[in-house]
Parts: sequence; structure tokens; C-alpha cells
Amino acid sequence: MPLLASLDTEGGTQLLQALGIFALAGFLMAFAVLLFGKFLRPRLPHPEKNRAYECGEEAVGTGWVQFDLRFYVVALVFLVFDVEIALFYPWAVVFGGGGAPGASSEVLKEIRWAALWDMLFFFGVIVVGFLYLWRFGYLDWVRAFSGRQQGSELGAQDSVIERQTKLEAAGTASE
Amino acid sequence: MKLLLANTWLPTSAELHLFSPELVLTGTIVAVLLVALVAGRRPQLSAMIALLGALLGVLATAHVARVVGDGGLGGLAPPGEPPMLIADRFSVFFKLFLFVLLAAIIWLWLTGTIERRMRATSRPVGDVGGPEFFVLLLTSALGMMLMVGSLNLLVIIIAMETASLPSYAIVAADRRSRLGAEAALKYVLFGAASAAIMVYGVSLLYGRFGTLDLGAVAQASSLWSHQQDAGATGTDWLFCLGLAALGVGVVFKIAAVPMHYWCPDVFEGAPIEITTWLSIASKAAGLGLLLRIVTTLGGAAAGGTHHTELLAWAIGILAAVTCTVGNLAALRQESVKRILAYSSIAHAGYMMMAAAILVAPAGTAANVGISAVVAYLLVYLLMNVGAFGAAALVTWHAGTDHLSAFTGLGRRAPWIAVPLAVCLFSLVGLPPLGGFAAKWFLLVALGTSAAAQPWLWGLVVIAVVNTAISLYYYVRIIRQMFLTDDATLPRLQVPFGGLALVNVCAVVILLIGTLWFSPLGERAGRLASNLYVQPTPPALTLQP
Amino acid sequence: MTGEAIAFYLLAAVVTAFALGCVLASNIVRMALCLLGTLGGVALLYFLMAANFLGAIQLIVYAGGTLIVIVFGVMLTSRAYGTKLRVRPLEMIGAAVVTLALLAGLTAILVRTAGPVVSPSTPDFGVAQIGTELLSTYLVPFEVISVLLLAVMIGAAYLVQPEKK
Repeated sequence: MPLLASLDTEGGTQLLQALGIFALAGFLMAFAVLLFGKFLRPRLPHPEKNRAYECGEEAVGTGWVQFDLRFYVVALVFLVFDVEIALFYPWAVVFGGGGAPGASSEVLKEIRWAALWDMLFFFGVIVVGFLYLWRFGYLDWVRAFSGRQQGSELGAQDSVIERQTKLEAAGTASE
Repeated sequence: MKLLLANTWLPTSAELHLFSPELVLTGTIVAVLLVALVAGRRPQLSAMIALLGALLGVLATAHVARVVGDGGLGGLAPPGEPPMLIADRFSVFFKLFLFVLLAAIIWLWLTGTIERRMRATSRPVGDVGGPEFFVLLLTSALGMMLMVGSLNLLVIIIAMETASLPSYAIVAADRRSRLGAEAALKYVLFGAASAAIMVYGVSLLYGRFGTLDLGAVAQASSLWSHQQDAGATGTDWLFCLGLAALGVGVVFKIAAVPMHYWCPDVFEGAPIEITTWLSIASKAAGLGLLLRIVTTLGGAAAGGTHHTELLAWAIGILAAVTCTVGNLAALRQESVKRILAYSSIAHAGYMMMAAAILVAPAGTAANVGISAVVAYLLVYLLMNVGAFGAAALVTWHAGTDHLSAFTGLGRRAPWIAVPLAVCLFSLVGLPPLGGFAAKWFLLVALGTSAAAQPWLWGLVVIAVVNTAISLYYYVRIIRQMFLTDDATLPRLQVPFGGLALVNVCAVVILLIGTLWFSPLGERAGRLASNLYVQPTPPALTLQP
Repeated sequence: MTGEAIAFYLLAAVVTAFALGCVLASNIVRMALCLLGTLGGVALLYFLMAANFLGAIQLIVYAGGTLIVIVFGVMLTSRAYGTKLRVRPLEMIGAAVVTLALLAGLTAILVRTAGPVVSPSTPDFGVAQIGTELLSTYLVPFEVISVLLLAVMIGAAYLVQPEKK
């Protein structure tokens, strides 16, 4: 990986050039396919074709419904995992011996032990949080919160339309 | 474990001992969650574990205090690197301070739940709890401890975030309260903006000096200044800008002008335990960090430079404006929580005045200011726990913290009214109470340093004038309690735990104002001595 | 002008344009999209500076993660889509004045300052180097972040848990 190993800004320019060529090629390819299709396909516009479901199903309400708040925890947990990548990846490189190229196996062993202890503390703290979320049902996809389902105002099993009408009813009630 | 190569490094056990308070706190955080995993969500159990953790923390801090002894120690960095965390008497004081406060807050919460359970049929507003609540409280405490115990700008940023993020969540802990949600939103927006400015400032400092270590920044800056002074008086504007941006984050934590807008709303909307916590801990940690930054910069600039002088002026002006704004705004408030919020802004202003001293040309003057702040903070802790605790007892009972809820309290609940009056008079700074001792030490510190910085006399005058103004709004509460009465109002039944907390605070305030007046000064002076000082790096070369 | 300079100015222009779009748009979904452009452009700037790891993390965490949370925030808010976020002209003028003053001040200071007083020790930022620093010099921040992330998770869960009846 000559590009990734380089440390001067020359490498940066090179990398950017490669990215630019890649992006340009991708864009041209998609454009070419669309252009090609435009010459081949017949052109018969009809208002029916612009509807959401061409099969005839009528769309009810708007597509912008309010989603259940529990998705937010999932999104945040995802973000936590995301941040962990930033910290785990360099750690993994060191653990794999990338931090001390050419070191003897004994030294490497010491490095690995030190890195392992560091990570045990780090992950030990975080995993308690995940266990907590798991134990109390924050990560459950269908049954969001135990004990909430019966007679709840926004059950997960409700169909989208039911939820929509409930939402609207709740909205008018609050107004 | 012995050290190998520069590639790996594990802290030695001696170093870990030095930072056992932080480790105890982290352990408590994990323990609260683990017990909840096994035993289910039991708020009182979590509270007991958190309380136990705080008491263990006090013991660990006492242990560290013995180890630290005479001089500050740095640690938790590989040999040859500037320390990531430092342990000296000042940071030990703050750890002890925060642990004691933590215990008091949890105690207040426990009495609060008892109080609410005694009467309530439905869940009343302000009822908060659960393992998460304590985890968040403890995490913000950890952040505050780290804020005061580091000279590394990266650690300072992360510590401030660790202190702030959980605070945002616990402000909205009571999800029934719309006021709480609004308060949390305001807090988050202000906090995020100030944190962004602070990180930007740190990036400027790093770009200028090529290091994240504040000690090295201070040395490089003073070296640069002295070089410039030989020729013309140059101002390192980039340095000033970076420092000012860093200061925005600190000032936000202290809730001083111009970053004080969040304070009254958050204090009003948050559950009263959290209001107490933020009003004391957040300010103390912010002030500790400010003092740390200022002493480091002032200590490195031997004899003072153009820049330290600017810094002293900036802090002095901010302090003067802060306490004046706080006191004037408090005059018109009707909610006791808001009055106390503005009062805490004013007190932050008084304490910031001491930070202006620290940049005094004479190197020895540094400790005067710190010892004044240490004494002030100790008394401030007692006064605010007492005042907010008493207000909490009344608020839980009346369901509102409006001034009218305090009508006739002298008859209805003398065991709340009298200690509250003591705390309020102490907040004014009247003798023979602790508040007077605190103000006395502060004014003496300002006066003795005024020989080198004559403009400090201006701060003395402003502090005295403000004390006179503040008398009005504190006495308003006292008047409502003792001079107005409504015979139809019944006597208050309050839990014994709350009464004990409030009365102990009042008694200690009385003792500090009388018997312990000079011991307080001596103790504070001792705590402020022998701060950690960055050893001068061997070769510091400047680029032209 | 070198290729690097051209690339920098191009990217900087794109980032600035997206940032302006983010501030000036009145539809919250468009704002989010412009934010994506800004964050992605900044990632490209990192790549230009050969900070590959940082650029990748910028894409994964900011363009990928944070933006998803923002879009979720929009989806979770009822009636967010139809709302037009308008700024009154007076506020717009005020904000513009403050922003331009800040820009002028920063530019003046940066132009006046000759350069770094002390240059950074090593301009080495390969992943292995970052990992080594993280596990030695910056071990304390590394471990503190774990507690911070724990608090963030618990805090988020605390705020969305349903009200007990």
C-alpha cells in the first residue's frame, strides 16, 4: 500500500487524484447508461405513472410520519460503535505488531499484553453499558419496552395507517 | 510491569495509587450498572451504592493526600512525556470537595424520595431516580475531577465533555416537566457552542506552539514574550485568541458573564438535587480549571509579561461584570431557585476576582489567590447545600419554589427557616458567619496583591458595593419567612434526614465564622501551597 | 500553482458552498444533505493532507454516523418536514455582521502571525503511529473516553425511556 504508507502531502495529492479519477469514472458510467437508455426507450408519459404505487394501491396520508422514539437509542448506540471503530482500529494495528515493525517476538508479546490490558479496561467499561441496554430492552427491535405494549399509544405492531391516524388524533388532541 | 521500548507503556501501580479517587469513581459507575443488571432497577439500591462509592472516594483521596505530601506529582504518562494527570494538594482538595458534595446530593435525594413517598398518591413532579440517574451524576463528577487534575489540553477538553454531557441529560431527568426539557435544550445548545469554541481555541494553541501540554505552552509563550520585550512590545494575537476561546469553555462552566444565560433557566428547570449539584460542582470545577490555567501561565511568565497582564485585566473585568450582573438580576426574581441561581452567578464573580491576582508579577502572590478561592469554595459548598437543601424541603412540600411558598416559615417550620436564614445571611457575607470569613480572606488577598496591581482596589470596591446590593434580595426571602404569615397555612412535616443536612450546614457555617475563622485560613493556605509545577524542558528552542 | 494548491482551493470552495447552503437552506432535510457535503469535503481535505486515517474516520463517524443521527432526529420529530425554517431579515443581518467581523478578525490575526513558535515534534500520522501514541502518551484520554461513551449511551437511554404510569 504505497499510497497509504506515504506521509508527505505529495501522497495526499496522489490519493486525491486517484479518488477523483474513480469518482469521475463512476459518474460517467452512470451518465452513459442513462444516456443510452434515453435513446432506446419509448416515451409515453401518463399521470398514472407518477403515482407512488403503479399497481393501483392508493397512498394514504404523507410519507413523513413520526417514527418511534426508540429508534433513537439504536441510532446512538450505532454512533457509539462508530466512534469505537476510530479507537479500535489503531489499537488493533498496535496489537498486531504494526507499531513496532521488526521487533523480536518477546517484545511483541509484551506489547500485546500491554495493549490487551488497555483494551480490557476500555471495553470492560463500555460493555457494561451495552449489557444494561440489552437487559432492559432498549435494543429490542419489535417489543420496544416491556410493559408498555398493552394499550400503548404507539404500538409497534400497529400498521402504518393506524399509527398515522393515531398520531393525527394525538396531534389534534394536544392542539 | 517494567517498561519496554517506547511502543508500549502501562502505568505503574504507584501511579495508579496516585489516581485512585478517579478509579474508585469509575468503579462505582460500573458497579451501579452491574448491580442493576443483576438486581433490576432499584433507585434506592443504586443510591446506596453511589453513596458508598463517594465515601470510598473520600478514603482514597485521603490516601492520595498522604502520598502527595509536600509537592505535586505528575503522572500517567510514559517517562519523558509531560504528565497527563497531576496530583497535588489543590487537586486533592477538589476531589475531596466533590466527593463530599456528591454524598450530600445523594443524601438529599434519599430524603427527597422518602418525603415524596410519604405523601404522594401519584408520582409528583420532580421525582427522579434510577440507576441511570446516579451513573450520570457520578460520570459528571469524574469529569469535574479530571478538569482540575490536568494540564493537558486534550484531557481538559475530554474532561469538560465528560462533565457536561451527563449534566445535560440529568437536567431533563424529570421527563414530566416541560421546564426541565426546555432547560436541558438550552443547556445543550449553550454547551455545544462553547465546547466548539473551546476546541477551536485549543487547535489554535496547538498550531502556534506544537504541543497540547499547557505547561509547555506557557513556557514557550513567556519565552516568546521576553524575546519580544527586548525589542518592541509585541502582542501574540494568535495566542491571545486561542486563550480567549479556551476561556469561553471555562467561563461557560463557571456560568460567568457573558456565558451565564443558561444558568437561571437550567437551575429553575432541573430537579433541585441537580440544581444544587450544578450550582456548586460545575462552578468549583470551572474555577479550579481557571486557576490551574492562570497559575500555569503566570508561573511560567516569571515577573509577568505583557500577556499575563492582559489576562489579569480580562479576568478582573469579567469578574466585576459577573458579580454585578448576577446581583442586579437577582433583585427582580420571584422564584427562589432563580434567586439562588443569580446569587451563584454573583458568587462566581467574587471568586473569579481572586483569579485576577494570580498573574501578579511577584511569583509568591500566586498562592494568596488560590487559598482565598479554596476558603471561599469550602464555605460556598456549605452555604449552597444549606440554602438549596432548605429550599428543596419547602419545594417538595409546596410543589412550587415561588417566594410565596416560604410565607410564615418561621412559625411553620423553624428548623428549616432558621438554618436557611443563617445560610442566606452567610451568602450576603455578614459576620459572624462563614460567608464573612470567605469574603474577608478574598478581600485581604485582593488588598495585599494590590501593592503590585493597584487596579485590584477597584475589584475590592466592586465586591463591597455588590455585597450591599445582594443584601436586599437575600433579606427578601428572610422577610417572607419571618415577617409575613398566613395563619391558615399548616405546619410543615419534613423528613429528619433533610433537616439534619440543612442544620449541620448552618452549624458549620456558624463555627467557621467564629471558632474556625483562622484555622480555615491556615488550612486553605496549606492546600494552596506546593502546586504542581512543570519542570522546565531541557531544550526549548524558538523558531524565528 | 501546484496541483495540491488547486485541489485545496477547489475543495475549500466546495466545503464553503455546502456550509453556506446548510446555513441558508430553509428545509431541514436539505440542511442535512448540505451538512453531508461539508463533512465529506472536509474528509477529502484530510486526504489531501495525507491524513488518511483521519479522513476515513471523518467519513465513517461524521458523514456516516452523526448525520444518520441527525436524519433520525428529523424523522422522529413530527411535522418537521413541512416546516420552513425562516430567519427574519434583521436576525440575518445581525448574524452576517457578527460572522464577517469574526472572519475579518481571524484573518487579520492569522496573517499577522508569522508561524508556529515551536513546530510540532513529528509530522508522522500513520495508523500504527496513531495507535502507539493512543496506547502510550494518550492512554488517559483513551480510557476516559470509554467512560464518556458509557455515559452517553446510558444518558440517551434514560431520556427516551417511557414515562412510568
